[in-house]
Amino acid sequence: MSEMTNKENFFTWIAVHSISLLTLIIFFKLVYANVTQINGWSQYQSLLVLGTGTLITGLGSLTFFSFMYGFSREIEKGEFDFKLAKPLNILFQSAFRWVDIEDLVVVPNALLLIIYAVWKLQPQNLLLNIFGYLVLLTSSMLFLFSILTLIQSLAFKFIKINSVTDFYWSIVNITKYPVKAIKNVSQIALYALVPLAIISSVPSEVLMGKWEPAWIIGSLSLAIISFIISRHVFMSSLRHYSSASS
Amino acid sequence: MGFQQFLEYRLNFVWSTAGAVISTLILYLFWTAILGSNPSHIVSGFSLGNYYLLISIIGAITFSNFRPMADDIWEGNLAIDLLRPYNYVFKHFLFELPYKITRLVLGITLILLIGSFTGFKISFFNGILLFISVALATGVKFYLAFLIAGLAFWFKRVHGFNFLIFNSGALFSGELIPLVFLPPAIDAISHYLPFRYLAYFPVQLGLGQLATRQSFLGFAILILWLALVVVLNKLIWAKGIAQFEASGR
Repeated sequence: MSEMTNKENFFTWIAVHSISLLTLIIFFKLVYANVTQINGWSQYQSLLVLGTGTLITGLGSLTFFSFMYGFSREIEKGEFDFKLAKPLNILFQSAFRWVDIEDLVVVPNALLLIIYAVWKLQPQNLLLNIFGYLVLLTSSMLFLFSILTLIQSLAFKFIKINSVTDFYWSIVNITKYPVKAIKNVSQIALYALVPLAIISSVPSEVLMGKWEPAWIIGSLSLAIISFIISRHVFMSSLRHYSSASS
Repeated sequence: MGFQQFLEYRLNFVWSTAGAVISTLILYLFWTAILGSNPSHIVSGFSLGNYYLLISIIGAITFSNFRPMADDIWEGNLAIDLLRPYNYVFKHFLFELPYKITRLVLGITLILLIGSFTGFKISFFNGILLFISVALATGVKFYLAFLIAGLAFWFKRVHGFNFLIFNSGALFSGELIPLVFLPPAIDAISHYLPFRYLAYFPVQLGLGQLATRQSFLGFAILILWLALVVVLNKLIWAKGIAQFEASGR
């Protein structure tokens, strides 16, 4: 919140995030200047995925992305003991540490892009689509949270895993591309792309009125199963934690 | 000390490398899909696979992490480093060196391995030019990371600046889009920014795409950018340290 009290800092963040998004919009505009569609994905469908991926980034920054920063450092320095002493769910305490308020501007930017893409696409049954979109967006957030929980569980064993941040941001940034447009690759590669496609491409498809039951059920199931597994792994890994301060 | 830390925390290396590999692989597959949608497009004489192989290896070797320095400023640990009898910049360079050397070895192995199947190879002379350009690009990116970290003297979190510089930079460096696809106006802008010389220029050298005059010009510009970021870095850090305050717990 301190960033908002400093007006110059806050406006700097608006510029930083807006230019970052603009770069990717230019990228897609350049791509579609060469082709009319990519394996059935039009320019506005791709922009919708970009908007959704950006929205996920913004929502993540406002909620659990802080889990990425400083968690392994807390374990390394023995500061994690203070969390264990508190009568609150330890995963909740570890994941929801602070709100990245400087990334707040990402959300309105993403919403503007989504509205623009939807306006251009003119889908049928928009209200129903929005409902489906919100459900799948929540499921995507849950899936991303589960991935991060699984990765951070390793910190109990390996302690210094701060490069996880780079890895996780790579995954988050990939969600800005229409991964479902990638075809004509080996079956193994296609299977590997499924989780990435689920994060932003599937909710975007639903918003544009393309309801594919297999993908929707798959997305919801994957999110729930991965959450259960990741929570279990985190709690099991916690048992291996021994205070570094003692 | 850097090697000791590297061996102690090997998993760190795996994560940072995996992130770079996944990103590049997805971009490569995405570009394959784009080109598949317009088969008439010729990618300026070199194959997209070789292009992305080289650009991803170069990106991994030249990558510098701004976070340890930014954390030092934000958490006040910089005060301890400033009192010690060593150069702070050199210390961080030594910490990054094992990662860069390992990635270089892995990169060369990967090129040789893939080359044995696809016939792709880099001539000895081009290899030398590629190595020098990558060394210079590593210097520029290292000091750019230091510049970003230096902003932590004034800002709470500086990751947004990193995104800004390297996201917009990716458009001009050839990592996001092979520069042959850029419209002339944007291509012209890329000549006045450092990013083109940090990835696309070394790739072109490796692929033997440049005439002698263009190579010399590219090296001269790269050296100029290195000098500029070093000077900028000195200015920003001097100003930041002048107002830096740290207190013990």
